[in-house]
Amino acid sequence: MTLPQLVAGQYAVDLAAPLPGAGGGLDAFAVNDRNGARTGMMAVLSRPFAPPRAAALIALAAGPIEHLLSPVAHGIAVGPGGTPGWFVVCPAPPGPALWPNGATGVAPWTERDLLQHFLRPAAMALDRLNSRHLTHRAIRPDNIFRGPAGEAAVLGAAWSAPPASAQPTVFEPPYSATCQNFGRGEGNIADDIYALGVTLLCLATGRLPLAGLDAGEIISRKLDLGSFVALAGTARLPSAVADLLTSMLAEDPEHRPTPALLIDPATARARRVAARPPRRAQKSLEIGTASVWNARTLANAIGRAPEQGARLLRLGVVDSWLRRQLGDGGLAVRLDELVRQRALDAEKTDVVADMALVARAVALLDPLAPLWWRGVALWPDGVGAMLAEFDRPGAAAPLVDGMREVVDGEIIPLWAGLRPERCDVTSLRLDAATHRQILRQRGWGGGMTTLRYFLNPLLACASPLLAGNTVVRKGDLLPALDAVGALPEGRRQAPLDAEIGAFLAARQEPAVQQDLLRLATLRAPAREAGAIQLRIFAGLQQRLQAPALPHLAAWLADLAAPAIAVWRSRHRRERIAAGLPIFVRAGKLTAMLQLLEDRPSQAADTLEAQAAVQAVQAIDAELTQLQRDAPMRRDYAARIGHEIATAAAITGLTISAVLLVLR
Amino acid sequence: MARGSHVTGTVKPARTMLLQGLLCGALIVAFPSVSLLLGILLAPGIGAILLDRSAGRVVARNMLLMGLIVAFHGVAALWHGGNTLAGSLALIGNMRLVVASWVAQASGWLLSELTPVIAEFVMELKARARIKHLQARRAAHEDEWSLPPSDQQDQPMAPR
Repeated sequence: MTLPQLVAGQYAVDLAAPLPGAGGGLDAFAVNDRNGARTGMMAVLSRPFAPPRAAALIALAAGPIEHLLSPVAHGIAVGPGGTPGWFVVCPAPPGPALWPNGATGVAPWTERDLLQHFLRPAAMALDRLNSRHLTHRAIRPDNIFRGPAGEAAVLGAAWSAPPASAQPTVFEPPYSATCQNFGRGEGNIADDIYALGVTLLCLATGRLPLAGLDAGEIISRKLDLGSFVALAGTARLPSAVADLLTSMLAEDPEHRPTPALLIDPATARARRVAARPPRRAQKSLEIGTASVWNARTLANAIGRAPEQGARLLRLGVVDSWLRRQLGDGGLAVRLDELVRQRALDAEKTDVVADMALVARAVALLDPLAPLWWRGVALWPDGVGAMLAEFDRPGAAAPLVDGMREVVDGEIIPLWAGLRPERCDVTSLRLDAATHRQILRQRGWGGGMTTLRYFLNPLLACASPLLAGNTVVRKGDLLPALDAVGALPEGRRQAPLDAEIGAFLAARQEPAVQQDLLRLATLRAPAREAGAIQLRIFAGLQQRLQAPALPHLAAWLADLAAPAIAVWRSRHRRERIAAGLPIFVRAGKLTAMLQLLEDRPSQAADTLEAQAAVQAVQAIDAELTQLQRDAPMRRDYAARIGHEIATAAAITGLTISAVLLVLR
Repeated sequence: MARGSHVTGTVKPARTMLLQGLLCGALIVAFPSVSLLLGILLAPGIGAILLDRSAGRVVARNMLLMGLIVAFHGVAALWHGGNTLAGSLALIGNMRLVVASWVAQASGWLLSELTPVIAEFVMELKARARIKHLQARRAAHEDEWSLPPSDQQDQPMAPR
């Protein structure tokens, strides 16, 4: 397979010209536009198991957004070390990042600069993104750039990795920061407003808030004190900025201003949302290592320590703490109903029932919180990125097992049903049913692997067979396999494994589903597998109108050779064996398949074989009869011999008598 | 029923033999010269009747039939010569006639012994040709359709 040198056939990546810090945490390189239409472009390289954001790339193809490094193209090209990679091409930053990498602080910005050159352009960009139902999810000072002449700030690239996967904890709302990095999901525009608020605070103070604290402490402080208090602390801020930050860093996404409102900071500042502070208990409850003072931190603590949390819930400790210490009898009653509901989950194992109880309890205690499962938090739209990152050899198997439980048990609709005002329950229920169906699909066309590819449209196929070829779209698969088939060592295995099967099933190839199921349940794999694989790839070649694939054809011909034995007639077998190499040289998989699976001829072959068996049975019966009749034949010969002798004697006697009379 | 059939089966040949004996006796009494001549000329056949244990005594029958071809000429000569005992003895003294009759009966015996063998040989040839044809057809089917070979091929045509 010839590795593409150009992204989308137009952009040449200059690997000798890296752009440090320009890729939002990923490697970025300068790009030359072969058409000469654009200058100052860069290409951001995705990491192998962290696919680009397909939905964002599709939506942004409609046109660039001002004050945002909008993608203009994406595709496979040769990356560092000669290995192919997926590049997203977008304009290069107009200048350095607002916060250079590794810096402990910057000079504080003036209020005018903050509002005019940072907040307004960023809000305009977010407003345009929001209008396309997109989020940025990588807003932080080192991914926002500004020209040397002090122009308006430009939001950096955020399209080459799963959303928010590279965001430091401090820039994420606590309910997103608490999630596993790859499980944060697309989120909503309010999450971007929050990150914008933290960035605004950084630039206003010239220092990074909560620097030196680990992620757990940062989240704990935010939940306990509220984000604004936890982040701003005692910092002296311009009043306009402080007013904006109060709303931008609100815990409830609905209390944060919209991007459209932030375009006019004066109006946004005037907006007041009264958020009731969480009720604080008279005495704390100890769960794990955490001291819980309110319902929000209780939800977080139960989610982090699910076994202990579930035990406390079942024993009624949480119930009595809510009644006596927090004074929230209503919440205690609803929680008690959930504990009773656990008895209905009797068909699930105890652990799964406990985890479901925890997930529901968290949703009830804190409707803003994400789904907690086995101590890991994630948002429903983060399942795909989680699987991409962890569902591979050597990655976190327990995490994947947890994901399997979530999908198989349709936990997401259970959790969403307790916070219907915060999500689209119907949509989540439909998605969960689809995902479960894929998970339960038997054979290579289902299971976690298929679900992984289904949820990540730009995830490269992870089959070890592909030997360094990056296959993201199904159209890339056949040329890649043809390239592998050209190498003798590449043909040691069959060209279709579970990864490729799952990849094809997930990439909307419904025609292969039945064949994949048969492949997984073959009784005679050596004889049938080759023919089935040939059928799958021939169908793919025909549908995609792929060019000739002589190496893959030779590879498949070797595997499909035992399938010739299906034909009973030796002449037909010889005819097929003689015809196959011709199509192999031409690289025509469809013709090979037609030769091997000629249904009318196969039917005739079967009928003729049956007729031959019957004929042989008749022959055997006649041979047996001939052998059995030998004594009878001898008796008959003796009898007939004697009769002949008598006849001859009588004839002689008659002639003699006649001669005597005539004489 | 079985008892009746047994009685019938044993009485009938005895009665036939009795009738044959009476008939022969009557002939000898009525035509002593002819009887003497035929007795000498057909002596091997008559002897074969006594020795032949096959059903219907086919060998003896054929010997007599062949012997009769020559004996007819002797009887005809005796009849034309006056049918006297002296004529009968004169003909018996003609060794050519006696030898010719005995040789004819010997040929009858030989014919009776050879024709079954020849008939069996011919029939066996036909059967072998048919078997060969069937085996060839089977081999063609085995080759074309990958059928297992017959386990009867090495067996003899018939147990000897």
